[in-house]
Amino acid sequence: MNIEIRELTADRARILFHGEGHTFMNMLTDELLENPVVGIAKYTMEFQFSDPELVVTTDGSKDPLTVIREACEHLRGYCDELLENVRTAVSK
Amino acid sequence: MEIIFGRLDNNNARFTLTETRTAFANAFRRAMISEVPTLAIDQVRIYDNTSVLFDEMLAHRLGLIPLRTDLTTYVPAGECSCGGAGCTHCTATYTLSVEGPRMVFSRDLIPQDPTTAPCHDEIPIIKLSENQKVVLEARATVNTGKEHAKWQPTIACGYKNYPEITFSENCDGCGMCVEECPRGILTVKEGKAQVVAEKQEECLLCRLCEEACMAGGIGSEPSIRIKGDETRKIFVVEGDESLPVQEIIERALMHLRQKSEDLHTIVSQLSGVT
Amino acid sequence: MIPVRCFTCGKVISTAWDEFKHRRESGEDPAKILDDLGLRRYCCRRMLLTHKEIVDDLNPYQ
Repeated sequence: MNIEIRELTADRARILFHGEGHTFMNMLTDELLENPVVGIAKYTMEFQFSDPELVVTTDGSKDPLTVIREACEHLRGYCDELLENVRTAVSK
Repeated sequence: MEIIFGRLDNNNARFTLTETRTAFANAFRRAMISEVPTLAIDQVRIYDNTSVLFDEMLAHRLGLIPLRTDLTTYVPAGECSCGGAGCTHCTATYTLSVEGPRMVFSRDLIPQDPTTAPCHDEIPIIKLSENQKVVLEARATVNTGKEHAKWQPTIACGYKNYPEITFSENCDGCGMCVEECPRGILTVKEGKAQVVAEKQEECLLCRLCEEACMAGGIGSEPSIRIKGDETRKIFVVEGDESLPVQEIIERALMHLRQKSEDLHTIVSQLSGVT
Repeated sequence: MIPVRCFTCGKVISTAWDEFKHRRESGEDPAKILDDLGLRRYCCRRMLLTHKEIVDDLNPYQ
């Protein structure tokens, strides 16, 4: 994964994700919005196959990068949980 | 979040994903379809083709044949140590040489590595008549459904919200909803409509029963209510035999996990947290 | 030639063609044959139902 930070302040970030698509971006923005300190979490793609640009704003109590890091931890947790689940279900 | 399998065999899986959200379920579905790699014929060198099909048509048909894929030995060309030049770790080669009159089947495609044989033996490729001949060499590479649908490991792959069917006090057991239901999941017992045992998951959420109930003309609300539970999804995954369905599910999850992990690492480095 | 896969869902349907053709020619109900062949979705069913084989007609004009 290759990202480019376009703008970063204490409560706002604009990040370009090279080579990502809706699969990951939609999941990420949804997870970000679960966090109560997040105001906006939205990605835009200028054209159909352009790289998505993520905009995240927070209420200022946490900086946007921390929020993204937490969201990633949650997503990783879900995948681990499900992987574990599938493996035990199969071995039965 | 939990996966509860209703059915799991080599080519079909049906499971319920609980305590989830639509965005995650959809990412999971998309990952299964377009991020899990398989083998498919990509390049064909045609030495002789006197059949009625054009070379391009022939190559197209070959590309659609599902090939057994062992992802522990084969890797996508971009990740291969040969740098995409095409070695035995990212490319499988096949030869085909048939003279008419007869039908050319997928079993006539002779793999250099027997573990990458076509999943079906009986796929007709082209019918040759007297004096017609096809001689070719094909190269299959590992890629994902994102590039072309022939690399998709799944056929039918989707999810629906978990159906919740409720009946109100007003039900008079007229049976109109029973007649209307295309899946036949409703029945009338003791003057009240109810769901046939174990058939609730088959509900299509089409709400034809609600309409039928309204047509019965009691009150302004139908007494049967269909709701989809957005936090529980019923998944159906059907594979094309190139990979076992269980592996498709696992690899899709591993893909999503890897993406989250990568972003986490990058962001941690940027913000100076380790 | 019968398409290798269903246009819509991608299921390999060409393997069923031969049996479908023979059984239909012997007068069986196409719906029943398709059920027997395990083609549940209507996208796959129309692939066989609407197919017209023309290789043999083309062969003389090679």
